[in-house]
Order: sequence, then structure tokens, then C-alpha cells
Amino acid sequence: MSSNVSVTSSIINSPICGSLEPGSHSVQFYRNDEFLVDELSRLLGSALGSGDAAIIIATKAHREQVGKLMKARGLDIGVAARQGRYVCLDAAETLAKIVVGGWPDAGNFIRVIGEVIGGARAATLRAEAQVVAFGEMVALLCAEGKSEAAVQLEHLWNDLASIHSFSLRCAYPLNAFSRSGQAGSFEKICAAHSHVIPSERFTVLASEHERLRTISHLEQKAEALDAEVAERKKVELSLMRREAEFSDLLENAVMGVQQVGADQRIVWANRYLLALLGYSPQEYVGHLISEFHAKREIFDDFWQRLMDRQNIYDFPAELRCRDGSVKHVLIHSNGLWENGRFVRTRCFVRDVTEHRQMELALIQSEKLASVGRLAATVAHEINNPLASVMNLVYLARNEAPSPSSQNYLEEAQEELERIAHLTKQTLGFYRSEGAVAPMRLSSIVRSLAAMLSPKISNKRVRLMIEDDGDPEIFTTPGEIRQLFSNLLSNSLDAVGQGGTIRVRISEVHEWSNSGAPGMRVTIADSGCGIPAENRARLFEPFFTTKEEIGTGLGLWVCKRIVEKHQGTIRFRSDTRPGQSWTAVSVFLPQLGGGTSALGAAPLRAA
Amino acid sequence: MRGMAHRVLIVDDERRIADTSALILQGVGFQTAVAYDGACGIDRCREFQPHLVLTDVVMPGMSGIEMAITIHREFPQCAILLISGQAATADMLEAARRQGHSFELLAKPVHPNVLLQKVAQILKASDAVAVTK
Repeated sequence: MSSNVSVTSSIINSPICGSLEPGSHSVQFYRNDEFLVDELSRLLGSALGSGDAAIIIATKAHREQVGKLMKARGLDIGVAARQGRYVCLDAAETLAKIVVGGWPDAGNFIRVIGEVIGGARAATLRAEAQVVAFGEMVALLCAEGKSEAAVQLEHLWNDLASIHSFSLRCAYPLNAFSRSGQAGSFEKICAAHSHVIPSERFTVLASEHERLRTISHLEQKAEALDAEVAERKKVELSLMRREAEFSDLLENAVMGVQQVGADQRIVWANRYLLALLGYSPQEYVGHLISEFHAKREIFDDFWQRLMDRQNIYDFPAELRCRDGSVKHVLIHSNGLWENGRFVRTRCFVRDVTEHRQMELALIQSEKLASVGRLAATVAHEINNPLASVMNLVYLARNEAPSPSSQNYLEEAQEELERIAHLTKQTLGFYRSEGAVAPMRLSSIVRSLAAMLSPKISNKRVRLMIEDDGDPEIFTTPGEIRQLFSNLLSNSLDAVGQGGTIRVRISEVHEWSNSGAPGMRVTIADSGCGIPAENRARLFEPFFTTKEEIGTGLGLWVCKRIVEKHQGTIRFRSDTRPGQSWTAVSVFLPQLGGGTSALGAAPLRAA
Repeated sequence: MRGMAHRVLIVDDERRIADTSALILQGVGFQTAVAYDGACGIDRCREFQPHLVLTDVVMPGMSGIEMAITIHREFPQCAILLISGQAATADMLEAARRQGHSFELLAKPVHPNVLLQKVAQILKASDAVAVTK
């Protein structure tokens, strides 16, 4: 409600509403304060002028404007007020005396308002005098959105009429009911009144003819509005449904979707993206997108492209997850521009972390394979000169020259054997025993134990070999001997004096290998264990922790032999001091008939 | 054994290996001949009539295995020992096996003592076969 009311001399003529029937309870709707003030000044002025009482319960602005206008019309309201015939009350203050817990209280109302009416009547000093009241406490309640409380207050006024005789005018600004949803409370308010007076737009119409014409116009307008509202509701409903569908589609996309505003803050992100990165909506939406990019310079480049109005496809980036890990993603994105101004991005984010890891693993294994190929080639090329030199040294020794050159030749011979050992560790299993034959693994392991017995007894190592059922298995014995020779030698190197090595051979089904039947050999030692940082590199060629004596080829060769046999090799280890151990477990499937499967796939250098 | 010295033919494209191996075998009383490729090996075999042929496998031209198969056909009583340093040998051996020729193989480098031991063992076995025949 505006409090700046300008009262002009061009007062609107109000032929039908300037007076009140005795005992009536009318409601006046209005558009302009100016009109209301004029209307009230006439209503209250005519009551005061004819010796009746007038009560105004209104906002300060309305009270002042009405008083001013009555004075301007020559009415001495000061005298009337002093006589008690003219009562001015503040609507908000009066309402506060009546309302309890947000609702008008009947007892309070009768006491407060009853007193005011009784007092005003008494002040007229005439038994037949009328009391004319204007109140807008109801309008205040309505403006606060408490239309139900307003209706209740209207009823209290009606109830008061059975105790006191008065005429009441209420007023509501029409804009208090500008929403279609308020039709119900509007109707209830009208029903609580004996007379309803439309706003100034219609009350100023002079003739019946004009009024009928206006009503017809209004009817047409209402009809059109009803139809339009219905149509809009339909459109709104279908829009809402579409929006729900789109949002459902985006939420359920198996791809990250997000919008980022011009301020680089995340406007919205779908469920997939949040789940991918592990954030709750509160932890992500509203934050700067750059916070989540692992590499600032990459983000800056990305943003610059967007600002250059590029459509970005498959842009590789790294996003930081809540747990600190990084996801490799590809981003499609472009900007939404309105009137040359950047509004927001639409980003589609694809997770390629797994793919990238596989790619890296592939590159790594390619690298290792080529290193392995190189090693094997070099080893082969060494064999011929080595064979020549070995023969030459042998012949020279047999020529029996001086004792000192005998010594030199002996040493040369030892060095040659070291080279021969190196090449054989990588290539030794390509030997004549390459043929597939049925073998018992326990007999291979036991013969190796016999071969290693000097070292075993030297270190006072307890070696236990257990087997529960050891059927023959088709293998290439030379390769299998090399495999277990390397593994047993490693265990022997790992255990200290008096350590333990336990070998267990059992017939099993390998469930991780589609339940294939075969043999498992587990070699467990009480050695120092394999430190976590070395575990990933165990099978790399030339990776060794035994710098003095290791070639770094033993386990690399083991892995290739196991792979050739379509088996698996796994390490488990514990490095806790005092309880450290390592167990290597080799599974070799029983290849039905064996010969063809292995025979057709001779082991190559890499 | 000295009275009936066995003849051993050595074939290797690495001349130094062939020559020194021959010397080592001569040192313990064998009669030896050398050839430096497969074709010459077959020729020398016909002249020399060895009890045993020691041959490299991977050689330019005719491979040791091709040569061995030819010799095996022509002189079934002649023993053959292959010596190789190459992985590809496994494939070639398998191919020969499918044709019904099974040869023994040693991996290079072979220590002279091991070689002598192996040669003696093979000749003893083939002598036994010859005797039973």
C-alpha cells in the first residue's frame, strides 16, 4: 500500500457508494489510494456532518490523508474528535491487541472494538445516532498472506453486530488478489460482507446502460482469460513434464554432464559425474571448476578455447577425485552465448582412466618385451664367439705352457663359464629337452633339491617337500626344471642361516582359470620378504636386488615359461621383521594330451 | 677305442669352432674331418664315412637339420648330434620330428669336457647297436 497519497481537487465522483445503509457490512475494492481516501472522506465526513459517530482503523497514511481531505471540505474534525465522535486508530496497533498466535481472538476483539464503538456512540449524545466504521486490519492480514485470518476477522465483525449497532466499511487493494489461486479467499471475503463494491473503475460509471456494456466486456475478458489460463496451465504442465524427462535423461546418462557459469563456477552436474569423482552436490556444485582440475595449465587452455568460441572435442584432462585420486577424462564442450555475452558451458565428460591405464600397461609391456628380445638376441650372438673361446682356452691348457699361463687360462676358463651361465639362464630352456613329455613335478623338484644340496646344507636350511597326489603332467621338462630351479635358488638366496623352505605340490582346479584342472606348486620361504616397492617390478628383465650375483633375468624367464604353459604365477609376501615370508605359487594346467598344445608353440626369444 | 679310432665329421659355418672342436677331438684320439657348410658336409660325409656327424644348425644355405636328414637317409648307421645357439632350432627340430627324424641337440656353448663326454656316450650306444645288428 502506498503511503504517498496525493490528494487533488479533482475528486472522483462516487454516486452509489458515498453512504452506508445502517447495519451494513460492505467491502470496497480499490486500485488507487487516492480513490480510497476520497471515498472514505465522503463516507466518514457525511456521518460526522450529520452528528453521527465515525471510526477509522487504518494505516497512518490513510488516516492523515482522510483527515486532511475532510478538513479541506470544511469539516471541523478537531471538535468531533474532542467530542469522541471521531475515533482514529492505527490498524497495526489495534490488530496487535486482538491477535493471539497469528489468529484474531474473539474475546479480545469484542472487548477492544466493542469499547470503541460503545464510546463513539455515547459521545453523540443521541440514542438514534449511527456509528460508521472503516477498518483495514483485514487488509493488513491479507497483505501478510493470512487471508484465512482475515476472513475470520470479518466474521468477528459480523458477530459484533449482534451486540453493537454500526455500519462497517472494509477496503482491500485489488492487487492483493492478483493471482488466480486467490479466487477462493476473494470469494470467502466477499461472502462475509453484505455489500461488495467493485473498484473505482466501475463505480464511477454513471448510467445503467454504461454498466451493462461494461459487464459484457468484463464477461468476455474473463472468458478469454479463463481459456488462456487453462491453455497456459496445459503448456506449463507439458513443459514441466518435458523438463522432468530431460533432467531424468541427463541424470541417468552414463557420461558426466555439467554446466559451468561465466564466473567459472559449477552450475549443475549430473549424478554420474558426482559419482565418478566421489563428491556430494554440496561439495561440487557452486565451486570453481578449476579447483577440480589436477593441472591448472590444462584448464586454462581449455577455458581459453571456450572463450575463443571453439567447439571442443575429446579434450584430455585430469580431474581430482574426493579421495585424492585422479581421473583421466575426455571433455566435449562449447559455450552458450547470448547477445555476444558468454552465459555458460555445456560439458560432456567421459572417463577414460581404465583405458589409459591399459594403454600405459601396454606401452610398459611392449617396452619390456623389446628389452627381452634384445637380451635374447645378444645372448644368442654371444654363443658362437663364446664356444670358440672356450675351445681355444681348452686347447691352450692342454698345450701345457708355463705354470703362470696355466693359471691365467684357468681363470679365463672360469670367467667364460660365468658368461655361459648368464646366457643359459635366459636361453638354457631352449635346449634339446624341448619335447613335451609326461613328468611328475615332485621328481623334478626333488632332483633340483639334490642338485642344490651343497648350498642347502651350507646354509643349514630346512627344506620340506610335500605332495598330495602327484599325477603325471605333460610339460617340457627342461623348461619346468629351469622354472623351479630359478624359484628355489631365489628362496635359498632369501632365507638366512637356518631358514625354512617348504614346497607343496598338489593337484587342484584353478578357479581363476575357468576351473581348469592342473598342478599347483607353492614354494614358501622364511626369507626377508619382498618390499612393496619391488613387487610390481618382479618380472621385469634386469630387475634385481642381488647386485653382486643376480642377472635380473631369473623371474622374467620364469614368467615366460609359465605363460607358455598357460599357467599362472603369483607372489605373496610379508616383510614385517621377525615374521617375514614369501610364497610363490605356480599353477600349471593339465593340457589334455599336452603334446600338440605345447609342441606347436615353441618358446621364442621374447 | 684307440685301436678302432672313430671318425667324427664336424660341420659349422663358424670356422674357428669347427677347427678347434676337431683339434679337441683329435686330442683324445678321434679321426676328424671338417666342413663349413651343409652341402660340403654331405660331400665330406660320403668321402669320410664318419661314425658321427657333429653339426651346427643355423648356417647359411643348407641348414644343419636339412643336411642331417639327407645324411640320415643315406647313412642310417651314422650318428648325428646337433649343436645350436638359436631358439629357432626348436621349430626346425619339430619339423624334422614330424618327418620321422629325431635328432639330439646340445645348446651352445658346450664345454669341451661335456662335448667329449657326449660324443663318447653316443658312439658307445651306436657301437652297441652295430654289435647287436
